[in-house]
Amino acid sequence: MANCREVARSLASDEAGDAGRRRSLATWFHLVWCRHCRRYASQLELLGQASRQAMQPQSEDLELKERLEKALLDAADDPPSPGL
Amino acid sequence: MVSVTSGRNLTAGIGEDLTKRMKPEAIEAVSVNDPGLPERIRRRDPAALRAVVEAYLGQILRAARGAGLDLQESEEVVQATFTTFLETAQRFEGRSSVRTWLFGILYRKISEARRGLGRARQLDDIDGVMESRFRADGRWARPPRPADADTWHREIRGAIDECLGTVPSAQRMAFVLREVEELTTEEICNVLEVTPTNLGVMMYRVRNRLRDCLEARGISGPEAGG
Repeated sequence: MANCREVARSLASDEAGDAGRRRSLATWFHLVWCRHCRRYASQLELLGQASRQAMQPQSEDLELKERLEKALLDAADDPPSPGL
Repeated sequence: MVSVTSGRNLTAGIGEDLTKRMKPEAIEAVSVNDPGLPERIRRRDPAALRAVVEAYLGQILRAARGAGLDLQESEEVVQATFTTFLETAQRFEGRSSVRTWLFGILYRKISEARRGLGRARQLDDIDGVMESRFRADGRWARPPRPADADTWHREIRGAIDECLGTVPSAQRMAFVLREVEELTTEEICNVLEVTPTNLGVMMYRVRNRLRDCLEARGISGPEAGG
C-alpha cells in the first residue's frame, strides 16, 4: 500500500508517465481515501495551470516577438555563413 | 526542386489555383510538419528556415521569458538561438524534432548568459523540507494547507513570478518545458541532457519548491472539490 510520502513523490515527479495526469493504481486508490494527498495533487495541478496563465505573453512580449520575427525572417532568406 | 507531399493539405485544390498567381519562392511555402523538412533545413532552404522561425519563435521567446530573462536579455538570447540555428542548419540530423533542437540551443544560450551574469544558484534543501513534512510511517506530519479562493486568484500571478525566482535555473527550465510548453519527457531529457530519472527528481524538487513557496504566502490554492 502506498503511503503519503510515496504518493507525493510519484505525483510530483510524473512517475506515471507523460500524459502527466495518468496515475498508477496504487496512487489512485490512495487518493480515494486521503484528503491531504488529494489536496496536494490538486495544488500541483493548479500550479501548472496558474503557471501557464502567468507566462502568457504580455503586450511588450508581443512587440518584441514582432521585432525579432522581422529580423529573423530576413536572416532566414539569407542565412549567415555556416559556423565551424 | 522538392516535390510536395500529396495529401498534405486539405486545401490543395485552392492552393493550386493560388500558386499560379504567386511569386516562385512563395510556391515553396513549407509546413514544419512536412516530412521533408530536415532535408530542406540541411540544404538551408530559405522557405524551410522561415517556416521554422514562424512556427517556433513564439514558444522560444515565451520559454526564455519563463526562464526568468527580462525583455532585453530575452531578445539577445532568442536572437542568438536562431542565429545558431541558421548557422548550423546543415548539420541538423533530424534525430530529434526541430523544436527540441531549438529548445536545446536556447537552454545552452541561457546557461551561458547566466554564467556571464553570475546568476548561478546553489541548490537549497527542498529535499530536507519535504522529508520534514512526513512522519516516519510516510503519512503527512504537516499536510498541505488550503487557502481561500479569493487570495489565490488575486495574488497567484505575482507570487508565481516571485517564487520562480527562488528556483535553480535547470529546474526552472524543466518546469517551463513541462508545464507551459508541454513537451514530452523524452523531449525535455533531450533538451536538458538529463536522464528520465534525473528529470523526475528535478520535477519533484521544482514543484515542491514552488508549492511550498506559494503555501508560505497563504496562496496554496482553493480547496479542491470532492
